[in-house]
Amino acid sequence: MQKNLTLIFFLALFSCIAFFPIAWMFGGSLYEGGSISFVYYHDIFLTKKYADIISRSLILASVAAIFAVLMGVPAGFFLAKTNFFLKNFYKLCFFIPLIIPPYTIGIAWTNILGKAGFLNQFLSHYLFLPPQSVSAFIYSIYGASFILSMNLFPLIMIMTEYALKNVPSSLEESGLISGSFFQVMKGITLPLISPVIFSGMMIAFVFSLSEFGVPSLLQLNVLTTQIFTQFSAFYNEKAATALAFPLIMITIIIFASEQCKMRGKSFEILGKSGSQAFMEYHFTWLRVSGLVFCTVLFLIVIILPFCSLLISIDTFKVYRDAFALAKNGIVNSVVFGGIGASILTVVGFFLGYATEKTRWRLKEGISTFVWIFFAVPATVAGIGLIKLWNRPHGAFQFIYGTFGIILIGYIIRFVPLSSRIMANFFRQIPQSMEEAGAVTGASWFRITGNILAPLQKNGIIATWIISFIFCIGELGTTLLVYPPGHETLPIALFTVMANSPENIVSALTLLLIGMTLLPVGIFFLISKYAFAKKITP
Amino acid sequence: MKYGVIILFFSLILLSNKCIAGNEVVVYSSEDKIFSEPVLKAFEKKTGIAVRAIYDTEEAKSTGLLHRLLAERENPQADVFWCGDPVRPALLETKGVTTSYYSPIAKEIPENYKDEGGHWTGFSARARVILYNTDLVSMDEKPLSIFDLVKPEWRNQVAIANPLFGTTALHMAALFIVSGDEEAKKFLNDLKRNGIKIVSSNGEVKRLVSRGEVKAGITDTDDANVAILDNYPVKIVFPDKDGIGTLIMPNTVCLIKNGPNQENGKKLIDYLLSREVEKKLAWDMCAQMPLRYDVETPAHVFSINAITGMNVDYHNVAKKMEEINGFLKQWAGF
Repeated sequence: MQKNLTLIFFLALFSCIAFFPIAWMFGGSLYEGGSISFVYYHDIFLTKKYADIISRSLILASVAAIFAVLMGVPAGFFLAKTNFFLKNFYKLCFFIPLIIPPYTIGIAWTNILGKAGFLNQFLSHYLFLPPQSVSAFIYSIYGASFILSMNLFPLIMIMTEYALKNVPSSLEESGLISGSFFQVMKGITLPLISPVIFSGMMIAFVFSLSEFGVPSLLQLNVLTTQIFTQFSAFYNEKAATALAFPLIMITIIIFASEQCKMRGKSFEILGKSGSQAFMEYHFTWLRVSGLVFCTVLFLIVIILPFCSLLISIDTFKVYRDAFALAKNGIVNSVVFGGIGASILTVVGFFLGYATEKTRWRLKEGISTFVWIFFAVPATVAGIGLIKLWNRPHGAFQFIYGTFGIILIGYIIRFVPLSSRIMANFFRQIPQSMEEAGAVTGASWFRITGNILAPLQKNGIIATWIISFIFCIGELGTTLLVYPPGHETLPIALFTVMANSPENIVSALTLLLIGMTLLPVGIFFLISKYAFAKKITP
Repeated sequence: MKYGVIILFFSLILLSNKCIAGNEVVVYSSEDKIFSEPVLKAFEKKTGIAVRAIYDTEEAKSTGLLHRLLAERENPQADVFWCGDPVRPALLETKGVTTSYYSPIAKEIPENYKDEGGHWTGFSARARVILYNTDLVSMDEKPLSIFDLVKPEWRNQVAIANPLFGTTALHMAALFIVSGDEEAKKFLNDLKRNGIKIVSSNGEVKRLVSRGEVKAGITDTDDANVAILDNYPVKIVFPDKDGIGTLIMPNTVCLIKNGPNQENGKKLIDYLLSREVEKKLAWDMCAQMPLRYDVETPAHVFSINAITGMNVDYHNVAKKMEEINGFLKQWAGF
């Protein structure tokens, strides 16, 4: 009873917050000239033009997700399972691309690979590639996928790393007695973390599908740029909302495929916190491979793009000017991001549990319901929020006029993400652990506090960090709803980006990195200490 | 403990709600923050009225605030909208978002930069210019007209922002008015055949020309001037001096209907339309041209009468934009 009431409360909370503004927008798109109409949906499904646009969006998202997995899974593996020189340094640095808005990374790469870019000139000089073809690549759909994958690979890296940390050493040790390292990887480790990898890939796919900044910068004709065109050139919010429908359909299909793939399989393992520590490999060849892989990745995803951005900062005064422009945004970002990430972690914990560990008949439907909000474009969410919460006579002004509206925006946009991550980590916790608690007569709250939360430690940490980073970087919805005086750092960055000197923009980018990494580092330390205390027998 | 957290949370909400009351004015500004914020701070200092501003972003092509104003129409949060062009206020007027206000300060501003119904008033202007890279283009080769850009020597060497958005959309609509639909369509198709690069924004045009990715681009004076101040090898041409003229786009300011602080809103509008602000914006990095003929400007900022302006009515430009949007969408490949 206690369990069901709690889970229903969180589900109802999310539904009220997320469902109504989005339903308002989609309801509006079905209502034209005083009656129900499918006029805005007709072309989307019945013309070749939109079939081409949807195909391009799918290519963009698929290639980006594959690239992100190719970078993120090995990086997560090396960081979790080996110990090499500069490991922690690389680990921290690899968070950076996730913090920087993809639009900024896009600008850096078009600087590098554009016709006048130094890497383009290097490639054309030494590899005899025509400068036009290198430039054409970065302005193509594959160039956009490449940029997005660099932005999203840390997400998969974090999820892989924490999933690997959940795999108990006893399983791998047993495997190593009779098999080689590769057999253990293939037969034990990778299958156990596969739900997390699939989940990460799915998240990267949907993020790439709904990303607007990079396709806009490169002028690609995909769904998100079409939506934007309807919103901003034709001021037709109904047509724009209708165009978001394919995004949602694709997301549901992707999610359903994941569910089908995972159905009937068990990924339950007794985590470190339940018994013994996870295993680290000390093979020299593996450590060298880790160092080489991470160094090459570091050069590609950090050094190349950020040198191009940061080379223009020549004096300390630039930082002072940038700080003056952004100080309000810095405080707001950290406070809103921290509160937002904590709310997302709590709501994600219970929704993740509801969709993964309960025996509810409708749990797959609930899971899909939560997930579809992930594909809703930020602008649709923002305008829906204004229409719902900005009521005449200021009835909801205590929400709409305060940072409460920003937090609601975070919940709509990122609860699907936090609950998905939590659900995948919950998959690894055996049902028997909870049942053991119940047998002793402990209440569900007590079981949650003393068994589930400690076992879910890695999931909680990963969820909080990812949520914090996404909250801090959120722009699309926040921009439409933030009350005066509540601007966040990305808003400060983007509002001065248009015509500020390049060095100010670069300094602001650095501030954004610093202001995100600092709380993440502090959270690492606090969580390590808090959970270490919690699981001590 | 948990009740403590809940109480603290709601106290914070109430506290932040409390903070928003008082002698203030709320302004939404689509003019770049880097230029508009100092002006608003000066107003705050001068009058003691707290300015609570929200700015737009380049990524949203400065349309984020427009959507916000439209969505907030039933319960306006803003008092004043400071817009970078005269066309979006025309749209807001048709949607019933703005209200009439004839500022006494605007008497010296020429009539063609003011809305007859008082829904918007213009001040400091930008112009659509050709920016060229001096490392790649000599003084003799520079284009003097936008129609020069269809010549073979400019093949694959020109950039323009997506004409569906922002000031490029205005420029195209004005071009259709002064050249006629058929001539304008032919020009745009010739530009496309000549390999013009359509990019995301005027800032991107500036970046590509500055870095030598293309030889020239069509952009706004404020973007161009920032590139010059950043010491890039670029120069500006005000095109078509002897032909159709250069498009001039004033900033505009409008009063929002039923805004929460109407009187303070009017005070802010009066200030923005003042000679002092025109001078400030002329001497700032954006190098905007005062609409008053007698405001002192630096040497590199032209006064409005030194430029041959395109002869267009901004209401007609707004209407034309709607008419040609379908063509431009197809032309831009969207």
